[in-house]
Amino acid sequence: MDKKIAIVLVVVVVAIVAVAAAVLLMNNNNNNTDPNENIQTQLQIRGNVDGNYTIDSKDMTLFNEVMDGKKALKDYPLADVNADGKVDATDKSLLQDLLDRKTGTSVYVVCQDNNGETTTQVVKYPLRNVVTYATNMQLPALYAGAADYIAGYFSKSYDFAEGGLSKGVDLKGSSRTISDAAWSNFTKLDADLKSQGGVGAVLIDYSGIAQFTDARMADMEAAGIPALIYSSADATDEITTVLTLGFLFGGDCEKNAINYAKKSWDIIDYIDGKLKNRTKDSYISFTMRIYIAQNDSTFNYIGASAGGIPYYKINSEFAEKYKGSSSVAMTGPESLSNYKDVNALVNVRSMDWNLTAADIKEEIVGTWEYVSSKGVSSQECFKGFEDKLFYVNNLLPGAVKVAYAAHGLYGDLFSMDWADGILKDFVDMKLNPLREQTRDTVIPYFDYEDYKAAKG
Amino acid sequence: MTFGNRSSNVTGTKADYYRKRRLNVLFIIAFTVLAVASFFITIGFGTYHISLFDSLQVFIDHLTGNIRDETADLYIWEYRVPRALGAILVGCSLSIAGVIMQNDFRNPLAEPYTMGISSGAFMGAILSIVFGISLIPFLSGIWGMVGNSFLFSLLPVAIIVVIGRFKKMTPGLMILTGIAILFMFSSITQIIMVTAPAETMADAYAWRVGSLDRIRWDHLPVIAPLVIALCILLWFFYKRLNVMYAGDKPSQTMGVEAQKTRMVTLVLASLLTATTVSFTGTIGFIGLVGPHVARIFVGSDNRYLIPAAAAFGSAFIILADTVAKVSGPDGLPVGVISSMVGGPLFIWILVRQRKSAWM
Repeated sequence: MDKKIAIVLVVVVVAIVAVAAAVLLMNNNNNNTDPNENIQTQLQIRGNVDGNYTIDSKDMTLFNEVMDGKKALKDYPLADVNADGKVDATDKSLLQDLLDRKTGTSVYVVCQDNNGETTTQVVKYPLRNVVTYATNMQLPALYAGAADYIAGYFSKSYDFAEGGLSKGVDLKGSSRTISDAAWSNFTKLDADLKSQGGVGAVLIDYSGIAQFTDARMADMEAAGIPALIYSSADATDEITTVLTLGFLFGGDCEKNAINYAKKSWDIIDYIDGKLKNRTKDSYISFTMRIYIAQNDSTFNYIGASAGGIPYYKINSEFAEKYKGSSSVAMTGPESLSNYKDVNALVNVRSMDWNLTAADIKEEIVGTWEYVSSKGVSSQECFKGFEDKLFYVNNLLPGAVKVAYAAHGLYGDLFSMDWADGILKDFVDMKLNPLREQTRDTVIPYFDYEDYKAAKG
Repeated sequence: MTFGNRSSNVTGTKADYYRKRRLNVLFIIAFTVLAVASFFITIGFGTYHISLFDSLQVFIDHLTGNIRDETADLYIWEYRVPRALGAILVGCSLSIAGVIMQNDFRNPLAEPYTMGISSGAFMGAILSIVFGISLIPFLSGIWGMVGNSFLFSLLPVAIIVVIGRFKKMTPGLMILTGIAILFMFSSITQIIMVTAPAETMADAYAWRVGSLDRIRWDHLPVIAPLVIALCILLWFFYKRLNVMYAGDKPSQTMGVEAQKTRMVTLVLASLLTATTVSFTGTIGFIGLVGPHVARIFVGSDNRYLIPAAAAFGSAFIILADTVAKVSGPDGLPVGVISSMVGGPLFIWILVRQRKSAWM
């Protein structure tokens, strides 16, 4: 009997301790809210309290309300300008400096860490001497007008579109790898720039994050070089990336970036509006000609922004098979054989511009008839899907890509002329990568009809 | 009594001989039937969802010109049928090449791989995959790679033949030369692969393990006539090859120029191997196992051994490819399956057999 009582007592004590521990832990979480949680913003800068495209007097007004307790910090997390978990006079002073666009101000930038989680990095305003990695980040930087502020780049794949990088130092990496030699060139560049404060930041496309190992990230942290990481291959994230970089570079870059972002959002809103009462089409995304974008791949977002439904949402077998955020090469002609009911195939392909008519034909035919060195033929893989397949140029501004994808998905609602007009609008913005280009020198989009015409 | 006994022994030996011959033919027929049956089974397997019965219906519909389902017809007729035919040809050619090489060198380890032929083919493919080089000027793309592989796979035997013209080469010396060339090619390809970009390396690796998914209808008019002609041609050497079991000098006394026969059959076997591996990549193991398994059942008489190895090799590769097609999310290369399944099978057969089948 005594033994039973003892056992019951032990169980009760253990249960009480467990509940108490849980309560303590939960309270602990409440007391130390992660300053990077719940952030929804266009301009990814702390101090942009209202989460719109710029930092202005409205942000100060809102900030004061948060500081006075009239509004909750959890609803306006960017009011915590220095990301220390509280809102106080230091934040206010910092916000005032941001409003004044004061040189030398520490700017707390919301971005990703190397695990893809939201984090905050600190850079000096205005941002200068940046080093870039991968086309998907280099183009947003150039669209933001940063050509003069790029001190170095690890690789350049597109001579014309990325021509603006040439003022920086080629660090001799490649589009897929940063060798030890390239990393050594980078550290040397930082040393060479010491008199100017060293490298201002490294701008990294998240899809290339594997090259930034923990050791390299630790090296950068030790050297005081912030890493601004964005998933800039995603058409919509690209817009906020341009906007944020424009703000950081300051001056005309900020103005141009705001124009760029507003125009981009207008286009996406327009597409949304036109598709309100329309049955949505499903699509599968591709990259590198014959690679299927997995469910969470950033390449999947172009079709979604254009009003399409990613195929994995309507086909559980496909969803299971293509789990992940990368891409998988098709192994042969049967790879798509069980997905005949998909409405469209959106193939995202980077194609440099400044082309002649002959170059354009060659590029279209070459892409359509591509055969990998493993012997996988693009034509075979897409056989039976020809009328559903279209290619969108990945080097274009995000909203232009979305516009052409919308044309590919809903040609009856969004004409080619309309998409071409949007391309022209962006060319007219005098963006560095698109300098002096016309519809005749760029391949923004092509489909089976274009292929047949090019093939003659 | 003595005479009677003697007569009875002779009758018994003759009966045994005919019984053995019947068994040999039976083995060949059984595996030929298995290969044909496997052909009809394998066209029902792949990524595209279709039942075995429906795939057969699609096959028959196509043959009778009554195509009812164009999508199914595309996947079955355009891709699975040539792949299955390719499997038969590959299994047949690599097995026969193994028989010839083991016979020529009187060495149970001789096969297209140990002779450096496969590594030569791989090096040719690497030049195309990594550098985009085509050694035959008018060929490009996949055909350029096939051309490179073909030329390079002939190099090891060409080197042996050239050396043989200046220095008398024993079978042992020949096989050692082949192994030396294998290592030379392997080291060069390793150097190239170490410096190659990651995605190119993946393609090169895929070629290295060998796959039948590259075989198309337009390849078969190149592969099939060459394989069939070379197999028949090699079979006609069976008497000379049988004599060569006795050794070079005894062969000489029996009127067979062993060295000359060796060189001719070696060149033909190399051509046979090159014809297939240049399209499929390196499919290891069958060149070694095919001849041994066939030899266990039909003995070393090349009249039966060559067709028996061909039938076994064809059935084995087509079944291995069937397993390969349904392994993993999008299938695996047949080279992986043939080694994975063939290895234990071969060990089991070797352990089970009571006497040495070799010679």
